[in-house]
Amino acid sequence: MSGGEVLAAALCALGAAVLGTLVKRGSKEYALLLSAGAAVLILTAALGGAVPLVESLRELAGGDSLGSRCMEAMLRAVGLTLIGQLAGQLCKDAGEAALAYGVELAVKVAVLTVCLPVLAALMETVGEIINL
Amino acid sequence: MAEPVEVDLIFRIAAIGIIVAVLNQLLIRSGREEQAMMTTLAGLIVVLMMIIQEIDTLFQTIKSVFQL
Repeated sequence: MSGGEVLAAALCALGAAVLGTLVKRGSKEYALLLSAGAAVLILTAALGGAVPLVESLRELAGGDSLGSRCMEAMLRAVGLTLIGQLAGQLCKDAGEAALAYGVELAVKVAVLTVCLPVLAALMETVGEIINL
Repeated sequence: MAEPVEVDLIFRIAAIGIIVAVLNQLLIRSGREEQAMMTTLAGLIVVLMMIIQEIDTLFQTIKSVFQL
């Protein structure tokens, strides 16, 4: 992400916030949809900028090693968390804290499921080192 | 590479929101509550369809970037 893109995202968010307060007087649901649309747009732009970053992280982790598997699991967890956080925060904005809690719980379960094999591999490696 | 933030969508949603709010007030003042309700619902569905496409783009990007 360059400085101009960050500025564009910031201005986009500010404009959406101002327009949202304007629309909120008419109907609250439009303000919610407006903030949802702005958040999705900004996140998409940010992810487009994050592609080279993720690629270089994958290269840093190396080929078929434990570190590579850890990195893979971590990136998956980041992706799941992005979706969950977006949905959860939008639900909270709409005043539905229970829905947000449900989504966050689902994301936690999914992240644990993704990370458990890596943890098992780590334990295995530690066991091998101890047995040496 | 990063695509520019499409600000058009935000302005379009805000414009639809304002227009629907005005129409809603007009229809309520002229005593047509059912049509006012229908207008709100139609506008909401239109905006929802617009946003759903963007959400789909976002989820596809997340899927491809993080290889979910």
